[in-house]
Parts: sequence; structure tokens; C-alpha cells
Amino acid sequence: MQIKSIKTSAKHYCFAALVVSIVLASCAFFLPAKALLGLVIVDIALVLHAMYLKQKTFILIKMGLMQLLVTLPFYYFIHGSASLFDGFIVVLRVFLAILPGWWLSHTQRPERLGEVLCWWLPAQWSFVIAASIGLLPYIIKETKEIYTIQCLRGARITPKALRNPKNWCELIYCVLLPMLIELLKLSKQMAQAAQLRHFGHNKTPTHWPDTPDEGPHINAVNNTADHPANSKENQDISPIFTHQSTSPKTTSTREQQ
Amino acid sequence: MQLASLSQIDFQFNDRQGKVFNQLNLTVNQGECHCIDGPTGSGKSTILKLLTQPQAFNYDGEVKLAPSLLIGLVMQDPNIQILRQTIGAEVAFGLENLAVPAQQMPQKVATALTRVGLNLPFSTPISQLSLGQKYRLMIAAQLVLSPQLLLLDEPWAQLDDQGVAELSALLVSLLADKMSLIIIEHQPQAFNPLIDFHWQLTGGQLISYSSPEPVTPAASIKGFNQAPLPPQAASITSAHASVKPPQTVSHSPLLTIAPHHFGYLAQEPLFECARPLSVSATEMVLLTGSNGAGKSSLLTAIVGGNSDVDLAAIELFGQRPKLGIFKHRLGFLMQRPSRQLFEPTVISELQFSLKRFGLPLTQADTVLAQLELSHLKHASPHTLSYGQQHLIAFASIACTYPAFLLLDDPFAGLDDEYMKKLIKILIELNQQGCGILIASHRVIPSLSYQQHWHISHGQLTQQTRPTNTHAQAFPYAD
Repeated sequence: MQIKSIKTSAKHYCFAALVVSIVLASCAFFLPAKALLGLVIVDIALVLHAMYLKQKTFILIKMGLMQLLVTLPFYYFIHGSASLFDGFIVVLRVFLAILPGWWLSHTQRPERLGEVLCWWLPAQWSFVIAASIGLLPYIIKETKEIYTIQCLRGARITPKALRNPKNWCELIYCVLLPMLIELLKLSKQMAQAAQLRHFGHNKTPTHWPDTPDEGPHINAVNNTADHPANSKENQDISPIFTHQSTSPKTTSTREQQ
Repeated sequence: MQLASLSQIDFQFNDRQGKVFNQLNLTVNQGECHCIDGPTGSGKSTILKLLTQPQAFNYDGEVKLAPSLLIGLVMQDPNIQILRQTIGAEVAFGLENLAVPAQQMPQKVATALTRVGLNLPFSTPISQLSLGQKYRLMIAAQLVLSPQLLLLDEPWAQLDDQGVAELSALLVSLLADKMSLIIIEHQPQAFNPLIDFHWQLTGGQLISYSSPEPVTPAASIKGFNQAPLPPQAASITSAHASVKPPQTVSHSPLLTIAPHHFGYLAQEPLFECARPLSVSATEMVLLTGSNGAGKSSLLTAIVGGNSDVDLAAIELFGQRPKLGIFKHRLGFLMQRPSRQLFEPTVISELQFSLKRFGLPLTQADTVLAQLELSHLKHASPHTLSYGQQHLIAFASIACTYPAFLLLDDPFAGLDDEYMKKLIKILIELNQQGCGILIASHRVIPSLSYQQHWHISHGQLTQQTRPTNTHAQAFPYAD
């Protein structure tokens, strides 16, 4: 019973965080410019909350500054200095739209998000969304490492080189393209890893409860006899079966399970 | 009791490539441990995939699996199998998919974690685990489902010696419980006491052998040579010794590390370097340490790739490291180097750095010839085998003939043939005046080096003598 009550509260807290994130991200686009200050104050509260949970805000700040540095020169060259404030507002709106998503991904566990998304999405979709959110730190780390490798190989993508817009293509070619290839490989491998653990073989999967203080150091018990995989009901959903190639050239016999 | 069998399996990926399996046979009974060895790209991992997901392959022959057989597969790289952020949730993923009630999960997960020796709270972030611990976590994620057959893909390459010892102890207990194992491994001797059947995958068939040393028919694998590398490095390199580095050899230190505590800013230090260390031109240095000791972090810091590390104690070419300032004088091969490949052909991949640094493009052809990969010159790097991609990535760095070369776990996942090629060119570069720093989980028996640095118990120290006997062929560092 205790586990159930903890699970319920964590689930509802996650749901509330998801709704808040969607509402705040939407507000960033739909609120008039005058009302953005209020939204900034609310979003600062989110950042403070994430910092309280010991999350790093460096990447977020860096991303905001990069957006500003890239967008404002465009506004200056295309619309002149009078439109710089408009450019700033556009950057601010994009930043405020991204920030709630960052807060959500840094304060909620992907499996809990997946559980909440299961309320109105198929289990497979919610897993894909939750796994994608959980993958963000890995993607950032990989991108950083590929960037380092290519810088050392002489690619013109150092911060100094990127001051020249001619070199921006090199960033796409040397870093984003290999990263895309890596992501394609990774998604295939992760899908395989999930399938090997019976993902997709039950339309209504259960969910891991929140057990913050528990672990094998407390309650390890040798208990394998009643494993669900060995129960009659779960044998029906077992993905393991006797298989024979579907190739028409196959000549051997099929063994029925 | 027979659990699984592959009978007369013929398989090829597509019409352009040859057969991967040619009348391949394998039978696994309860409580048996099989080990499959073979060259990189020969199809070892495909055997495991065929057993776990036969419906995904279009093959000829027969795959027989015992009714209600549960198979667990732990792939080579644990990082690509992690689906959650905490260890409890990760192990429970399979239980969720089997619709096990949430109340029953903690006990089952705890049992699986205990079995692999991860006595940690469920909420432990997976990001805090070392690679060896992650590998054991992946085994726990399979054990929680009580498989009767467990498949392991190249565990040795991912684990340090302690990790291998711990894994071996775990596998002994699993075999005692009548679980069956199939291990794909380039280094079968690491698990010799467990193994009932040794197999060599060659020519699309599994050939049985009884001794720890594979009895590969040399003629069937191009360029393969079972003989160990001779101790005298010079004799290996004579064939291509005519290639000269573009830079003049200097005997002043390329890299100096002053005594300091190394670690990330605002975090506990990873290790202490109590005495000064240095690497000179023509020196080869081996840096060893267990998973998570800080080897990769140190190498990345040396090349200027870690902005959140205090670099005051490190000097490279007499300067504090900064990314991109050393140009072609510095080469760095990261782990999983195939991720750096992006050009449409092998030759353009090699020539990329040469063009950027204004070096002769012919150096690309020279290095390809040294690695005996000239026939792949116009192939797409993305269609090559793991070992070939690994060597191409290395070649793209080596072709600039850097004055100092850093390599992070460069032999991981390579078979004897590719390992031999890599060691050969490393020795050549070293003899031509290139300082080399290699990070590895363990001492590499075929490698000659002048210094051995080791990270252990939070200390980076220089070992008094190399543990490698081949090192006697080289002058010793002061």
C-alpha cells in the first residue's frame, strides 16, 4: 500500500509538471510582448527549482546566448538597427518555449513521463517519447565529443572559425551529419535492446514504482521460483518460439512449440 | 536437454556480399558454455541475433528453440542498451513489459542486482556507474527475466581485469544453476575455465577446437597470422620504414604533467598525480587503469577538449592545451572512432585533414598502403566492417604524421589481424619520432612501450618498470 501511494503522488506530480510545461511553452508564443515579463519570472522559478535539484544550467544559458548571437546579426543586416528589439523578442520567445521542456526533462524521470503519457497515448509511443527525452544528455555528450574530434582533425568549426558564416556548412557536414548517422544507429540498437526485453508484447505494461530508499542492500531475497515468465499466463506473451526461415528456399522441417 | 540449435544455416546480408553463414551448425544444451571466436566482421554477433530474433532474418536452414525458452542477450556496448536513468527502473523494464504487478518488482529487481554484485539503491543514477558496472547491470536486466540461455557479446573488450574476474565468478554461478551460455569473444582465454566448447567462425562455418589458441586455417583469412608479434619492433616495420615524418624529431618533452589533483571543476578529484610526468618524441607510453579511473578524461583534457577541467598543470608542446591550436602536430583517436567518419569515400575521409592542414594528399595513399587497406580507397566508410572503420578512422589521423598521438582504448573490439596492423603502424610512427600515449584497461601483451603510467586508488603513478617484456627492446625513459 505504501508503494502504491508513493507511486500515485509521483505520477500526479509528473502529470502536473507536464501540463505546466505545455502551458508555459505555449504561452511563450501566444502571449503579447508586454506580458512576456511575467512569463520570464515564472520561468526563472523553474530554473531555480532545477538548480535546487542540482541540475546544471550552463548549457541552457549557452544555448540562449548562441541564439541571440546568431539571430540579432540577421535582423541587423536584413531590417536594420531599428528592428533589433524585435529580434530580441523573437529570440526570447523561442528561449521561453524551450525552457519548460528543459525543466521537465531535468526534473522528471523518463519512465515516469512514459507512464503519464500512457494515459492518452499508446504504450509504444509513450516509450519512444520518454526514451527520446532521456536520451538528450547522451546526445549532447556525443555531439560534444564528435565536435572535439573534428576540431582536432582540422575542421573549421572552432568558435573563432565559426565567426565566418562560410564555415557554418562545415559544422553541419562534420558534426551534425556524423551525429545523425550515430543517432540512426543508436535508435536501431535501442529498439533491438527494448525488443529483447519483451517491449511491445503487452498492450498494458505495468510501471516501476518509485522506491527512492530501497535497493538490494535492504531487501534482496532469493526469489525466482514464482517468476512471471514461468507462469502460464505469461507464456502466452513470450516472444520466444521455434522458428524457421520464411524463405521459400528452406527445406527443413518446422518444430511446433 | 537441448535448448537451441542452428542447422545447416545459409545466410547473406544482400546479393552483393558473400555468404555470412555457409551450412552453419550449432547445438546448445542445458548448462553448457560455448565460446565463439573469429575475425571482425565474420558474423559472430549475427549468430546471437539469429538466435534471439530469427524472424528478422531471411535465411535457409533451421533454427530450433525449446518451447518456452527465454533467451537473454547482452550486447557489446552497454551504453546503447540503457533505456532508463536509474538502476532499479532499468532492471524493471522487462518486468513492466511482462505486466508484472508493480508491488512484486522491487523484490525481483533486488534479487537480480544482488546476483551481479550491484548492491546499490534502486535510485542510483546509471550515469554514475563505470562501464564494467553498466555491463553487469545489463546482465541483471536479463537475469530478472530468468532466461535459460544467456548470450554475451565481447565482454572482455568492455571490462577491466577486475570486471572480467567478477563477470567470470558470476558466470560460474549461472552455469552451476544450469543456465547455458554463448560468449562471443576475441580473447577466449579470459574465460577458459568456464568454456565447454570453443568454436572458430571461419568461412561461414563453426570449427571446433579444444585448445585456448584458435587453430584458424591461415589461408582462409587474408593476411591472418597466428604467430605472436616478434619482440624486436624494427623487424616488423622494415617493409614500410621508408616513410619519413614531415616534422623534425625533437627530444624535448612533448607533454609535461606537473603534480596536481586531476578532476572536473567543483567535483571531487578523479586522481592525484603526485610526481611530474612527461612524454618525449619517440616515446610510447601506456596508461592503464580500471573502468572509470579517469583515463579518457585525462586524454581529452590533454588535447584541450575538456573545458571544465583545470589545465594549469598540463603543458603540451610548451603550451596550455586548447582545442585546435596544435594543428597537425596533435592526433587523438577517441573511443568508438567510427563516429568521426562522414566523407563519402575512404580516400576523401583521409584527405580531409590533409587538405585542412595543407599537407601532401599522397600521405593518405601511403598510410592506406601501410595498413593494407588500399583496396578500400573508393569504398564508402559507412559500409565497412567494424574493424575496417576503426582502422580508417585511425588512418585519417595517422596520415597527418602528428608529432604527438593520443589513443583512447584503440584495440577495443579488434581481432588479432586488425590489432596487429594497428600495432605495426604505431611502432612505425613511434620510430619516426611520434610520441604516443595509449590509454587501455589493461597491459597489451604485443605492445612495446617505454613508460607505463597507472591509475589506481586515486593515484596516477609511473610504474618502475614496464610489465611488458617486449619493452626491453627500447631505451628506457629517465
